[in-house]
Amino acid sequence: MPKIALTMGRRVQRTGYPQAVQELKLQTQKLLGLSDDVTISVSELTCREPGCPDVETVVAILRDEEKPIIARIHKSIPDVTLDELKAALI
Amino acid sequence: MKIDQPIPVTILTGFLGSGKSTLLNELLASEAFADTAVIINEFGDISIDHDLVRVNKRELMVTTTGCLCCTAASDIRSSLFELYDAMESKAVPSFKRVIVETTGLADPAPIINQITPGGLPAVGYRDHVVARCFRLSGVVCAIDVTMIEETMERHFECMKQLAFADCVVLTKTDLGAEAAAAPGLSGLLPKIRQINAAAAIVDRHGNEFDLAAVFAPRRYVPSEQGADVEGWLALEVALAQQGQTHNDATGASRHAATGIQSLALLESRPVSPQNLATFIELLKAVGGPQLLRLKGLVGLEDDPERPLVVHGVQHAIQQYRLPAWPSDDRRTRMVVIAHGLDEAVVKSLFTAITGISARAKAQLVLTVAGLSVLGFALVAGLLLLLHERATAQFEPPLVIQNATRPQR
Repeated sequence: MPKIALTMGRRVQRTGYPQAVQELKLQTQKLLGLSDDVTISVSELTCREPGCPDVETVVAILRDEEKPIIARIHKSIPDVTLDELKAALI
Repeated sequence: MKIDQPIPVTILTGFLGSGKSTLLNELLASEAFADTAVIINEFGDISIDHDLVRVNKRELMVTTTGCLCCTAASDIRSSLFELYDAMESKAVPSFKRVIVETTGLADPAPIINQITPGGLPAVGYRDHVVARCFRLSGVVCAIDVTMIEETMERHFECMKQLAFADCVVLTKTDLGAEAAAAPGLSGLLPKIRQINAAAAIVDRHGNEFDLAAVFAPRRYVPSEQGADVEGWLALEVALAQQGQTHNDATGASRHAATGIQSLALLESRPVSPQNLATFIELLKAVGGPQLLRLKGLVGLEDDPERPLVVHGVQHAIQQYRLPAWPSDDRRTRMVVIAHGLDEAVVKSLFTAITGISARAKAQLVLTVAGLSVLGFALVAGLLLLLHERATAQFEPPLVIQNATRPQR
């Protein structure tokens, strides 16, 4: 398995968007113990908050009839590390 | 005017330089698509794409500014409502379908949410009219086979555009050397399928290619596009409810924040072909992989009535002449779309090379030379005149001098 951005701690090797999006979804599911029927959406948006980096990764957990849980990491998707994802979600 | 059935709206998307306008031009040339209204969205301060799409008299075009995915609220709803309003008031002929060509940097999610039932809630008369009179009838994504792998790895928008498509058109499969250098369709298809498992995939240069079928109205259901698409649409709605879909109320660009900027270059005088070639080569050298797109209409000194179209996608540049200017605007206009490129450098480069044309330079040299000769002649003449007058006033003629000299 190739080393990717989600290796614990420091990023080892930058990967492209398709793989990084899938990895973020898998790691989110694993970290929160979510079942397969819960929709996890990973997107990349800009950040409006003063002093924050321009780009932010948004990870949303979307369940029917429930308010979505939205986590934000102020980095582009391929740069997000597992530690950062964990800190944003938990 | 009463509309019995909602008018089908097809979205034509694809990353920068993927061949969307070429497809659209070919489609609009067909009689079967004469009753088509076209909405072209451009990313940049000056419009070029709408000049490069040939629209017959029976077709109507609305060009939106900025980026559909970035302008706050509902740009696509505004454009569709304007079309409807113009048709209602008989300002334009009726049309049977609408094609929306997005910018190459567009995120399709906000656009689709605005014209899909269950997407963004309709607010006010305009939104309700649009919801009643138009329906999304397909998302076509153009894919440049020579660039797609690298582009998808580096640009999130590209991946999303592919994921939302219900029809993928592979373009540039006919480019000899570059297509040969590409991984080949057999290697590419599984990668496309990883992102979009369901879309029809057609080869733009294949024998079976049917452009009318690609744009034929059909049923488009976002939920059938896979979990990623459903999730992105749901996320857009959630963010919109939080008021955080866009980065500010004025609709400033997502792309600007991610370092992608659009530079507009204008020049009213014709440009010399050599200067243009030098500019393009220098731009490629300075920009490298940061240069995403270069497009423009250029008036050249050798034949100013036949503008040159410049299409550049990263390192590949295409150029061809048009028989005439497509509009009254005869200025040279170019748009450079780049990632993190210094705007001042590009503008300085353009000004340095095109700010003064070769003809103007030649004229200037001749003028300066002419003035110099004239000035020299005038000064010389003046000096001679002064010299003669001075001589006449202060030096008595030798004959007189000799004649008056006293004899001792």
